Amino acid sequence: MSHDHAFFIALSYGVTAIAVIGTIAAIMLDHRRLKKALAAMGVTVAARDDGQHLD
Amino acid sequence: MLRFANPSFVLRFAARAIPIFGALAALLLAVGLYLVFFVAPADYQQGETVRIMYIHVPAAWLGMFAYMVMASAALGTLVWRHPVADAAQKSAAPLGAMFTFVCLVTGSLWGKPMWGTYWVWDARLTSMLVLLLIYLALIALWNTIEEPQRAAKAAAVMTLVGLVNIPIIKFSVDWWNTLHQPASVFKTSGPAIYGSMLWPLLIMAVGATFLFLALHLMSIRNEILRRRLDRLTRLAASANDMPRTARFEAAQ
Amino acid sequence: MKSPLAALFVREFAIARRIGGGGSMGVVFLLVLVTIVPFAIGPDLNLLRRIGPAILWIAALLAMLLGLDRLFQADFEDGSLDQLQLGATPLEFVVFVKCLAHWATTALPLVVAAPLFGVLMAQEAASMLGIGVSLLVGTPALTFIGAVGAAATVSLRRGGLLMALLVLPLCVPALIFGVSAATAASGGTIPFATPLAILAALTLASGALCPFAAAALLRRLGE
Repeated sequence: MSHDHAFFIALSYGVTAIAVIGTIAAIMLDHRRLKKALAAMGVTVAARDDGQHLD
Repeated sequence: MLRFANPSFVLRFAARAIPIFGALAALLLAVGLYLVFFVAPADYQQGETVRIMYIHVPAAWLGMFAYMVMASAALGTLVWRHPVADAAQKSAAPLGAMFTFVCLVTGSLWGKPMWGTYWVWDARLTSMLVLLLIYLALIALWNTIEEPQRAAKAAAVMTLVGLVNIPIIKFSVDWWNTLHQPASVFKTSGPAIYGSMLWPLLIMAVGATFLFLALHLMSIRNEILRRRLDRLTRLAASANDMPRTARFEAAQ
Repeated sequence: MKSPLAALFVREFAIARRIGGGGSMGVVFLLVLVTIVPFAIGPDLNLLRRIGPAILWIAALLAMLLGLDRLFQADFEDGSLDQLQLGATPLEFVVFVKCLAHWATTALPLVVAAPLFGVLMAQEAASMLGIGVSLLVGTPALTFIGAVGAAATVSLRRGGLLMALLVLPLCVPALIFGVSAATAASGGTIPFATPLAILAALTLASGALCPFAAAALLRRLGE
């Protein structure tokens, strides 16, 4: 494997890993923030919304 | 299928499906990466660089798959007017943009050693670039229109207009490409794929699809929760305002 | 007794003419663009001759976008749009006629002016004719596609830039075949008629489909 090719392969996989992990992290952080905010309002995520007309 | 119109059902479904999809994605991608780096042979023409293809092709596939998902959700928004369809639509756009972006970056990094330059106006790459622009415009639309329902309707129609346009763009870009570049320099048809390369590619593609599904469900769940939070905030605000309104009315 | 659509066309035309600016401003914008391009790339006549049709097409595309965000906005703000929706005439036809009027006031002056500005781009007579004909055939497609973007952003106070983001990628096919036709007119490997026929097909298809999309947007966003 020539040095040049290894660089481009590593960069490809690196950029992909950063994009995918970044997306996962962003979604999970968003989820945690939403859960906290909902808990502060006195609602759990698992709670049914029946009768509360939240949706 | 109709049960998916119920946000509570979707939340319960997501709670069960996300770990399964996530685990399947992790497993398949791990096996796929092992095959890519330790089993799959180097291409006799492209050499080791062919290993970039194993992420480039799945990313291209998901960039388009995400648009199909988004367009189906757009139909759901327009026909059944349901909030879950809105959430599915909104969630698919950034994910599709991410995969399209990965497709472009890996394609460009593959091109540097192969073509000697990071970017050529190759027909397929150019079509993906236009697809990325459409995703970015839709994301901008979601971010600009404040009322979620209005944004959902506007995005739904634009998504479907884009869906009709994508094959036309593909056709015109192909035409433009043959017009401006001698076809012999850049072969637009991909290299022939043999079995030893096909299996790793298929496993990577299926794994990436499960990754998309897991991320999409997680994102939909966030949107449903965001909507509830918004609703609760409004209810709380209007409850606080009640006495003032009552006083105002009494004063009339 | 005028038909409602003819009356609407006359109204749109009158408004555009009285507000002023629309058509003549677009032409001036085109002239400005054609003037500043050589400052950027240098006064090389051979180069200008080669890229002239492309520059004129891009300039026309941008000039068309200038007033497009106001296509439905004024009517949305003062309530005329609600009146038009309440009428017996289907909103799709209303959108179609508004597009036609907008094209006649904005694009038609560009179609006339662009070939003349070809002089500044060292274009020959055949090429100027090609630019004029391709713009005449292709600009309606831009108006119809733009109408969808204008409808999507009708409720936004500053929707102009967003509208451009939405519309420009969808204009790629029209741009490709428009420039191809304009270039083919002054000789080349492909006959002039091929890209022109496809361009005409794009215009007809967008004229048939886009009013439905724009009307759907206007109805739903007004709810």
